[in-house]
Amino acid sequence: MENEKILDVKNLKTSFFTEEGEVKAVDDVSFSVYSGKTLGIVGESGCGKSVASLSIMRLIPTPPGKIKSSEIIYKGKNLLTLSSREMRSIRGNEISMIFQEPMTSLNPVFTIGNQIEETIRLHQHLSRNSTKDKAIEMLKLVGIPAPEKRIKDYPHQLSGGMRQRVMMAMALSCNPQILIADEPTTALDVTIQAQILDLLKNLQKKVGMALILITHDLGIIAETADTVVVMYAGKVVEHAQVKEIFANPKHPYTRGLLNSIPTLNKDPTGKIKKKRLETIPGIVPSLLNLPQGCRFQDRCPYTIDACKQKEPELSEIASQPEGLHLIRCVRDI
Amino acid sequence: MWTYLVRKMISTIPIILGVALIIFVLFNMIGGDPTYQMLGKHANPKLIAELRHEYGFDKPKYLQFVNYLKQIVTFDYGRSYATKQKISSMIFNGVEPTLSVAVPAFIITTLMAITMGLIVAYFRGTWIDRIVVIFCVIGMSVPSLAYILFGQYFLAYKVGLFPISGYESVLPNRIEFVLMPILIWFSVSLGYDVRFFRTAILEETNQDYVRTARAKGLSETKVLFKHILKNSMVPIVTNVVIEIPLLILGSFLLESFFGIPGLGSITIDAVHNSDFPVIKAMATIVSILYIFGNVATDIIYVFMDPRVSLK
Repeated sequence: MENEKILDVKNLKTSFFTEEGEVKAVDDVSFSVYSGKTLGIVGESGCGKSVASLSIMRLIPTPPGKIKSSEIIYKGKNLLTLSSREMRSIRGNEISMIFQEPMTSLNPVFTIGNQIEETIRLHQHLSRNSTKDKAIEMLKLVGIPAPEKRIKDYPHQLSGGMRQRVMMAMALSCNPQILIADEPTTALDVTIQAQILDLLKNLQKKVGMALILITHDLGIIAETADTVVVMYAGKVVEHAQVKEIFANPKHPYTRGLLNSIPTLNKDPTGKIKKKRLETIPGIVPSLLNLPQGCRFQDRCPYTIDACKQKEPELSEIASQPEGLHLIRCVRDI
Repeated sequence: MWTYLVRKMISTIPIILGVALIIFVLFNMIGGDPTYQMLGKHANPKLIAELRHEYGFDKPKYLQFVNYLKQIVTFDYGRSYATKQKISSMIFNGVEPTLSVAVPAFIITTLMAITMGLIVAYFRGTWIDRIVVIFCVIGMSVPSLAYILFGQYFLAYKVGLFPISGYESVLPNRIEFVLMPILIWFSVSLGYDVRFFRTAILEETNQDYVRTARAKGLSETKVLFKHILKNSMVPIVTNVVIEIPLLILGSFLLESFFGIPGLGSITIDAVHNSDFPVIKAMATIVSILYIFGNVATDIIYVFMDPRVSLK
């Protein structure tokens, strides 16, 4: 079971067709997910990480969005060629998802019990009472106190952290093989973030599911992920094991991200050294107007002429003590 | 619940007083002296004084206002200048003809509009959606007078489907007279309602909880009819309930063109005859009903949306 390749995303291309032209939100992205393991997808806002995850679920609003070409192989089946009925039986059952916005992701006019039971009723054919018991059990699993009472609550009666737990209870209620967590802690405050992440890790261990964790927070990646995909402007720029990424970041963008984490270093006298926070200059280029060549060239401190000629391929680099390490850069820095 | 209701009712009193004051100022102070109009240009001053005394216009304004408030409470608005009938009995007689057009028309239109709103929302962005919206806009843009003239000339006069106008108070005979007004009411308001309900439903389709419902594996029909519909009921019900008290007024145009002796006709006639007490009574009654309609919507919210609680 462990380390079995459960999801294989090959050359995913998802575009949005707007009045100004085609926006290639995800452009040729590939990655694999292994059961029991966590894949972290990192990148700035708008780099395509959410679109990539919604593409796996086939929840891209069409139109204007469209998955142009890809294979998403789950257990030997290509999810993109399934009928919508077959896809529905996978969604929420074998692959489920939690979202960035716990405050608005639950339906305000139904009780949380009703919403969790709905998922269970849909995918598992249990009796009425066992459906309810299962919902209570799930709420208990995600650490909601007094679940028998809480089940009658409406979302507005719960805090953001509690609502995210309810979302998790809902997503996990059918024992999914893969859980996609799209910035699950971004909207929560720091202490709740830690609780939710711990919970995710523990549940993953208990259930043995694969986790795709989408975030812009490298701290979360360091704590949670096994493999990391760094995305920039719709493309994968670096792909490696988590230790390798932090110990030996190769792509200038990954380095920039790592450098822009604030640090508190103490000097020998014990005082905190105040260091100016490094940032990546400039902004992400518009996907409608990408530069020729490397997409990161305008913000990269290492840009040479070759960067402006041709977009670099995603290629394996030589030294790789921690398994596969891919980067999309012509420079060896 | 009951304490809330009682408190809500009490809170309408100052609003009703305010409305009464505005109506009083409009009719009794700005509106001029109706006795001049009733007696013509060359009236005898003695006659005017007599008439002013008879109608109480010689009394101080505050007493007139108190008298008007008494009329509101006792529902006795005095007599019409034009017909000399008691206004309260005129109104009672007018309610039934009005409602026999307004209620069926309103129910049919609302049910049809909600159904079409849902269908259009389900097929949003497709050619079905576009065609329905185009027809709605056309339906809204044609003035009701055009429908009336078309109906009376072609459907009634040429084809003979309906009587041209008239009214019969005996029930089975009444039906043929109210059919065409109902049909026209339906045609005039359907477009507006469908578009409003469509927007209310579509506004919900982009909410995050809809994405969650889809991510659960629910079918599109289940998402629409369970998750979206219950949320979009709040604006829809508001729009529907607020219209109910106004139904009593009927449709001025329809009633006067089709000769239906309802409250709409009574009001139009009163306006033609400068029959101030009747207009005043109608204005008062409709305002008060509208205020109660608002209270009713507030209470209905509680059943629609768990986030609203009565406290």
